[in-house]
Amino acid sequence: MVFNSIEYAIFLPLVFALYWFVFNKSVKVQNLFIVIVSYIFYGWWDWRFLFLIAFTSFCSWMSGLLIQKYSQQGKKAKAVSTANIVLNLAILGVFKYYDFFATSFAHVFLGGKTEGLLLNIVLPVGISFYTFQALSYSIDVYKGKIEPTKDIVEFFAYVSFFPQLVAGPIERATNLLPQFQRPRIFNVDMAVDGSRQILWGLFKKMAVADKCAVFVNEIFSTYQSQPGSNLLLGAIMFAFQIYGDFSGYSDIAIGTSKLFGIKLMRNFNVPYFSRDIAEFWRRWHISLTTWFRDYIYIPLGGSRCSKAKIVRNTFIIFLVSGLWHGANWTFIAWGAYHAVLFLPLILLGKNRKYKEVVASDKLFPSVGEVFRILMTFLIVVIGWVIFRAESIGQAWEYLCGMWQWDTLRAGYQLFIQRNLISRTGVVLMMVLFEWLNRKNEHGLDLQAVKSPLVRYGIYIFVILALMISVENSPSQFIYFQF
Amino acid sequence: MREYLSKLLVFAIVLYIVLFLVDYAYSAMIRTSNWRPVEAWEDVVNGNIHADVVALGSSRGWVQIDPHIIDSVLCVNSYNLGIDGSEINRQVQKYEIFRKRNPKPRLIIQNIDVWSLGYTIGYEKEQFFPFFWDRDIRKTFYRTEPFTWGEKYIPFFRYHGMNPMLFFHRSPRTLYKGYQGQVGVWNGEAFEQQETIIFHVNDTTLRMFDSFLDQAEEDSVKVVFVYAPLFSGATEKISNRDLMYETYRKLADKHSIPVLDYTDMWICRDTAYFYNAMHLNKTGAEIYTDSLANDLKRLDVF
Repeated sequence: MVFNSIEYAIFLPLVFALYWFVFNKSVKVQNLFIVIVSYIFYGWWDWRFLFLIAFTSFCSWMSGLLIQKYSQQGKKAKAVSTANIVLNLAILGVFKYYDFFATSFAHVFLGGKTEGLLLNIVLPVGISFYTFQALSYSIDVYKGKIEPTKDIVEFFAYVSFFPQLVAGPIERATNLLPQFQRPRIFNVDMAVDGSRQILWGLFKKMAVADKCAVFVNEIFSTYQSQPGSNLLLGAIMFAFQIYGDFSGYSDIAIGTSKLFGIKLMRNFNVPYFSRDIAEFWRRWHISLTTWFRDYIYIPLGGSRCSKAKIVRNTFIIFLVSGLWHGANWTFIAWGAYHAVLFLPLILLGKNRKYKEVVASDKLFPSVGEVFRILMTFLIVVIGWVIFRAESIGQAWEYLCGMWQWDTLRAGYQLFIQRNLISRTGVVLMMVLFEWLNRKNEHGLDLQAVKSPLVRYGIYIFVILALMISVENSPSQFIYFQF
Repeated sequence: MREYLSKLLVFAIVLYIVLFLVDYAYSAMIRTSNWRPVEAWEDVVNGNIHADVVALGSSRGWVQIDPHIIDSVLCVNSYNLGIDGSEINRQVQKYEIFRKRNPKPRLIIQNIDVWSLGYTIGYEKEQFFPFFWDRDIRKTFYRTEPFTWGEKYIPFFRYHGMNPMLFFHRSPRTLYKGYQGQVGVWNGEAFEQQETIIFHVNDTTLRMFDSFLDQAEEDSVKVVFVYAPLFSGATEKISNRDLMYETYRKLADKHSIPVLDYTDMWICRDTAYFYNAMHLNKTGAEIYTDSLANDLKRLDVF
């Protein structure tokens, strides 16, 4: 079941009503209800994978209890924690990476013959997200950051909570689990803001991402015959497509959670207004970035070690991040590309230069800030070409072709012919709203607007733009494949 | 909770009213554009057609029967009611609305093809969007065409995915009395994908067509059946042509309708007069219409 579907439009109000009016007697009942509806939500894709998520959840829950049981015997507790990590990563490895590594192995050592070597297993939706969420729990229990829960329903609700189950934000047990342990009281302001955030997420997904996708798919599938200006435009459009798609999903997930009295962590914080690549990575897919920081980068020594180790740690975290996105060399190359960009900043100690959002105390940025934002955006766009391409070779050809400026006129014609005015219109609208709300949690955070008439006007304007922009055939969320 | 639900309800009501108003205004604006399907409907629903002769048909009527020539040869006022991508079910529905809003013609040129007795729905259904507020069009097409629930009941929703700049499309008009000659050259399409083609008769369409012919008789409107030129390579691939012709012949006999057949006209063997196997280009259309007009003159149908 996807957020931008009729099924979900029926599912959500129904679940909301039952949650607050029927199953509101106790926290335990509410949690059980959440588990049931979350499993229905997930099983809508393929019910067979319910066993996998249940197994992952059970193992992580058990490991928490065993770690506590052996807390006085350090080695045993460590063994349990390690076993759980290995088990989860093994499941992820088999389902997501086995065929990729087997194919790569066959290319190097077996002359490309893969007969009998591949498993050809369907990738369970959102496996990377819930596996990481389950892992964070057992690691945090082992580190003593959180008490293990004895309530299996509560833990299953934590892992499978439907708004963020298939594409995040990847929650931490320290934030989410306690919310399943205390009674939830309906909060009007939170629910209203959640509704706004859902609307904004739908706009970003259905009006921006899906609209850009039509153009992007055409450009990337015919890149060899496209002039440079079209390739550049296609790459820029993909940058907005992936942002609209993924941050739109996150907004819907966070907004939906608010309706149920649950506050999820922020996943995007206006990343395209970043002034350098380090700031970009503090604002893009925050839940994953901080996960890698806390569970890989810092345990490896982080940046408080020798320069050689900093280089190693930086590369590890970015390569793993690339690999997390998918089993393809393009994702690994994308990770390496960002590591190379990030490294000078961290070695020079400038990676935390921009902590506040740009122009936080004024309406417009300075010329210098605009220049830095555009340069950062451009290098991010180059990275997205590597990310979007089907192979390293295709990415290289695309990038080489992007800089042939002799065919600017062809790009202009395409712009006119392919209705790009309306596509760029919705992109500009998204950028404008996010700019005006860059200090707030989402682009439609209108708590500062006192006049209900103005607020209603803005909501209706967004709904109208959404209605007219939405494509006839909505596409799947990109991050589901990860 | 009550406060939240009240807010939601109030917003939903306000939203519905605004969408309703926007829909009405947007539809009105699109109706003033030169978007071809809208132009084709505007004259019909506004009762602007005062024609002695009307041509009915699919795109093979729309792009092939030139009112300039009919007018000059027959000294009448003619109008082309051809509707792209249609079969007789839609053509009859269009004529019904025409009949309600415009003076009766004296003659109907009904373009017929071996595939015209099928049943078309859905093709270019967007042409009906701006006419949602027109009672007759809503009653006729919003029942038969495949509109979704949202398109029917949520104001403005039906415009999703359409070019929002459409209403900026202004003059010049694209149609002359409903006709649009195509300045195209042969593109080689002649049913290459298919070895043989078999067409079927849809019972609903046949019934609708029969009633339409009854109504014409009752209104004292003469009807002529016309088989328009078809590229010879394509004609050869139609395997049940005789059977379909027989269906039309029975209808023609029943209603005493003359039949003119141009499927073997000399231009049918020359790609210079076609832009694809089914459609004459502007030059071909002018030659064909001239021939048709002169044959009508000879038939003395008035």
